[in-house]
Amino acid sequence: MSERDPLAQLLTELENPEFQEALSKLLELVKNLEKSGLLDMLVAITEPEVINRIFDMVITTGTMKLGDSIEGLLNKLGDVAEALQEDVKPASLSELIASLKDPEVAKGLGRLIALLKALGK
Amino acid sequence: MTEKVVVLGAGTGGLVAANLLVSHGYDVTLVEKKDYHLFQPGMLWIAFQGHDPSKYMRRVDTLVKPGVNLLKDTVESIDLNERTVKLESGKTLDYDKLIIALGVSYDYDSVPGHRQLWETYGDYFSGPEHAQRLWKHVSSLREGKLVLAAADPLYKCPPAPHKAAFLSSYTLKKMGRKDKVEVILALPFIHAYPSETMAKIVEPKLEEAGVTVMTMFTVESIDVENKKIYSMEGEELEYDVAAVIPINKGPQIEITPDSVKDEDGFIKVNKYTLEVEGFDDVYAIGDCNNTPTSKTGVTAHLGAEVVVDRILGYDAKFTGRTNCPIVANGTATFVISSYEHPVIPVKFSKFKRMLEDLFIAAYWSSLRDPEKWRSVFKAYFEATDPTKLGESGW
Repeated sequence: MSERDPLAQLLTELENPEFQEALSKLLELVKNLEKSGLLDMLVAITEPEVINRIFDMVITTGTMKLGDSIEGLLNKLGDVAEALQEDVKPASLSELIASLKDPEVAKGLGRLIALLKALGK
Repeated sequence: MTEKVVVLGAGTGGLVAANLLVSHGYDVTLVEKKDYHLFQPGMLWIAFQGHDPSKYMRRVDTLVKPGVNLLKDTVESIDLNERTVKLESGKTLDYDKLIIALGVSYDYDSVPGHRQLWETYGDYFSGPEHAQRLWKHVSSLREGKLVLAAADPLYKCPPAPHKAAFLSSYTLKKMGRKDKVEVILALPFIHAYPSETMAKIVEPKLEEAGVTVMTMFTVESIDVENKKIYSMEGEELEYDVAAVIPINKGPQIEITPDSVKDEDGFIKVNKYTLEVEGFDDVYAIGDCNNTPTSKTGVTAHLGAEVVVDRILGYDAKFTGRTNCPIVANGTATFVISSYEHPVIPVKFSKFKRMLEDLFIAAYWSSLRDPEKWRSVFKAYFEATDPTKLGESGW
């Protein structure tokens, strides 16, 4: 909202040591990007036409729904990782059938069926 | 000869239209009476979380592309038959195409006591200074009732009072006054939200935030001396601090012929082409028209794109698409609908809050350089089209 001359404002900012430090790091980063060839790539992919294609590919109904469920998925993955750490003995077919009485197992099986259905669509 | 387009109003719709048209080589004149453009949802953060207004304001001249002829002036009258716009300065503009984007005006006089209430406490609709006044009262409320109500069921940004309730309840919690101050959301609807589908999603969230919801409460009069609000439905509410959404009316300017305005002053348009009834060289976009969709920045932005495309010769149509964000603590949801599709269920999530943060971050750039954002917005609106998301919603 400032009505000051933008150039004068920039010069004042440059006197700020914090800004100078950040700027020298930024220059270092630019140097590294240039040395590795990544800067050329960044310039190319930030062309409006390429950006548009990227957005077009990334923003879909599927990714919007996925983004929404990421939190839940990550929590589930955490539970799965924990289950993998548990010490279990090999299960027999009868034990498998018996385990279906466990509401958590039954619900998990329900999810697996839903997953199979989604995969088959 | 270059076509002369006059755009009235540098709100979201007016800026997007002017900046898009100038990039296509049109001779564009933009008329705006204020020096600053305000990101209107920012008023909620000013009023209920004490944000600095400067965060939500930018000088209009920094938001127009070079080539746009920006006139700081007030529109006095428009003659659609003569194709002229009269300004307060005495200047008269003529045009080949006219885009009216003058927003709504607020009526604080139809409800007895309303003007006095507004002058005392401010509100989160009429401007940053009024939002700051409300913050002064909200932040100093040690105990009692904070009432958030509306004088009419038709107001712009339908989820505004809900956002107000969420933001104020979090502020009060942070200040340790949640048990002493009751936030009451009194709404002129049957449910906690105009759409029942969204009401089912919003209601539990309001309950979680400790907000008391009162439905079927349309403010009829306010007794500021005794701090009471009376409703048309015959109820009364006591308050310590209150903000009542004013009755929204069309822009207060003289238009010839008068028949293009409806009884509340909104400009009658074809809801798909946004052409003003009877005039194929005049468009009305955003809050000032009578389209049967929510009045929001998103509809103004999308409307501007449609009008620009039509001026360019494409048969673009406005879909009435809405994407009204409802922001809660760390999460958000969107009210998504269109002319062809009623509101679909959309849950609160952290991801949607992130999307909303990104939309806000892109706001200024999307006004100044709308063409750069078109493909991103197009991809988003297509991905979240109510038909594509389906009945199960998002």
